[in-house]
Amino acid sequence: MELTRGDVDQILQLIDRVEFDVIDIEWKGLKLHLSRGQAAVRAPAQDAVTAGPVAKDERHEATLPVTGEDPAAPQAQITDTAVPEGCAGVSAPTMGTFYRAPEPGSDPFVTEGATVQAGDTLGTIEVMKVFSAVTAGTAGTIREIRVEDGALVEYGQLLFVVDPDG
Amino acid sequence: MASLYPARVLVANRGEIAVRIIRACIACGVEAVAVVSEADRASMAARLATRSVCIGPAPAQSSYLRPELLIHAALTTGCDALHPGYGFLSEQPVLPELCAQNGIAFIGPSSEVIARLGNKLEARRIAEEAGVPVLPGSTRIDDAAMAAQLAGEMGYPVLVKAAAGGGGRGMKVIEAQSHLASVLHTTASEARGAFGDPTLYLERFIADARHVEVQVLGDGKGRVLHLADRDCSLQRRYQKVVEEAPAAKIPPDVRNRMHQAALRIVRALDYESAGTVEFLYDKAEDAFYFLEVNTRLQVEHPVTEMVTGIDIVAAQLRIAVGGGLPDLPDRPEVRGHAIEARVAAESPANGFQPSPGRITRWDMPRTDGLRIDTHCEAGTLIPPYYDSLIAKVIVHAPDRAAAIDRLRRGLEAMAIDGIRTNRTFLLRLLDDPDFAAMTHNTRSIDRMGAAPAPEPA
Repeated sequence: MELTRGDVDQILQLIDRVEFDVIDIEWKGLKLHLSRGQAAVRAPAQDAVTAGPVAKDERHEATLPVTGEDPAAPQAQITDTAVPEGCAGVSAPTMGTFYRAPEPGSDPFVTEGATVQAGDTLGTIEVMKVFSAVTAGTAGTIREIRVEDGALVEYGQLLFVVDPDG
Repeated sequence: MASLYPARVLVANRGEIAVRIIRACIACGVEAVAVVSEADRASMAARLATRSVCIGPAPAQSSYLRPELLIHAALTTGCDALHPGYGFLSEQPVLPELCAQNGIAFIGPSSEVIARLGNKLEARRIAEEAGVPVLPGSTRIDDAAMAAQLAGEMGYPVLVKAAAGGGGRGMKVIEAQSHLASVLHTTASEARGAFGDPTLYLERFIADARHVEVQVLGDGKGRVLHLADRDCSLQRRYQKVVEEAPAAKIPPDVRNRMHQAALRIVRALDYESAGTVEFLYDKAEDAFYFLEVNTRLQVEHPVTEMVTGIDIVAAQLRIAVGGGLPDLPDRPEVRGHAIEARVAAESPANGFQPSPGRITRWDMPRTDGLRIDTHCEAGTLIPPYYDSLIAKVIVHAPDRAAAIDRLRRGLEAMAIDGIRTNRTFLLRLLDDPDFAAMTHNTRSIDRMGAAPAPEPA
């Protein structure tokens, strides 16, 4: 079973709202072990979601990349780049150079606070002189622009935060 | 004066070879930019590199096989050179062509040389012109009748090969004339699908042959030299599994002629960077025949590095910016014997099916004379999208028997959990008496019954 980043986000949001420190769920072949506090140090984040059982004594904890002393770090790391609750993110559909305006010197496609419709062009990404549009997935207000004009953006990088209720 | 090395290299590959190239960059004081797919964001290459750029989703067609993304990433991150590694776009002329158009030094030969050697019929012609023996064979096959006549003259079995193939791909054995027409048909359509070119030719099939290859380096300014030879006869379905340097049990005069033949071919092309001239060594006749030239760094290059003490990737970095081949002797000094085993995430018990997954335990032995080239560690996720190679275990010892022993102990001491590997299969190969006696050939693995035979025709 493939878990997307969105799935992991949802799972982490769920565990955030409950009071338990450790949750074990087994369902249709998926074994999920989530923990926080001291327990999280024992089971680093990347092991927290495991398809199929992993014997604990087989883990070589010392060699696993530890995500930080702070047990909350694994969650913080994931929510850092995540979109604020209730908002939608617009990510780079390709790696390339991001431009906020159709051409140098002209007005940007959008500014923070602008109202957009689904499908509106928010910017363009250029790869070797070929431009592709970055479009809004939902209607709303541009709450944040997280990229500089002319910057190299990676595939999947968060570029805009859109507040659909705003 | 031009600098000896590039300032910043884009590493256009993934896995162990990306790590290998980045380590060479670090050793030479060169910055490395790793391009990664979404599946490789947390890879060792991304971590070791000066910086990394995610260029696309996991499937290689959307990331590692997109030349425009690689070039754009190289330009925007200020790279002055690009290393293609092996596989992916390493032997596609489009990449060096785009590099040249954009002022980036491609770490490899020119697009023209890659294109000429990429066509195996053209490569045969180049070898013949250089006075290098080629297997009795044909020009391009026009129809089944022509093929039947030529095959009859050569005697069955014959090999049918795709002109655009190579590296063991696009190749089939025809055992008898009754199979000829159908094999030609399927090979041509497979070649059209895989390489976009259905052109076929025939070559004589030698049953008891070894795969012997010569590592070469050229500075692109007329100087070429060889770094001796390797034997890569242990193959499964034409894919190398165990490689060693030097190639044992070859008479000195034959070995020398092979080295000179390799040099004649690359000298005729004014070859730049590292390359490998592959030969088939006919044990019964004590003769060798040209197979093809690989215009890139080989997977098995470490065994040559171990016995010559020459860092081939560092040499490539230097050659790419016109630094030439100083300090390297025309005749390499070969010390001892080196063997490499390719550890793969695959299950020999299930027909060598890939076994992707999360590595939960990764214990590697650390002993003298042992080198492990890998991108894996405990916690590494092996994605299902790419080649299954997870580690190359390379040993160096005073002689071949000691090297086999050292490799066996190295493989025995490895512990990998979470995924299936071919480790015990490799150990079984090392225990084969034919391998120990150097009486094995390119078909030994299939004969051992350790694997299904290559598609018989």
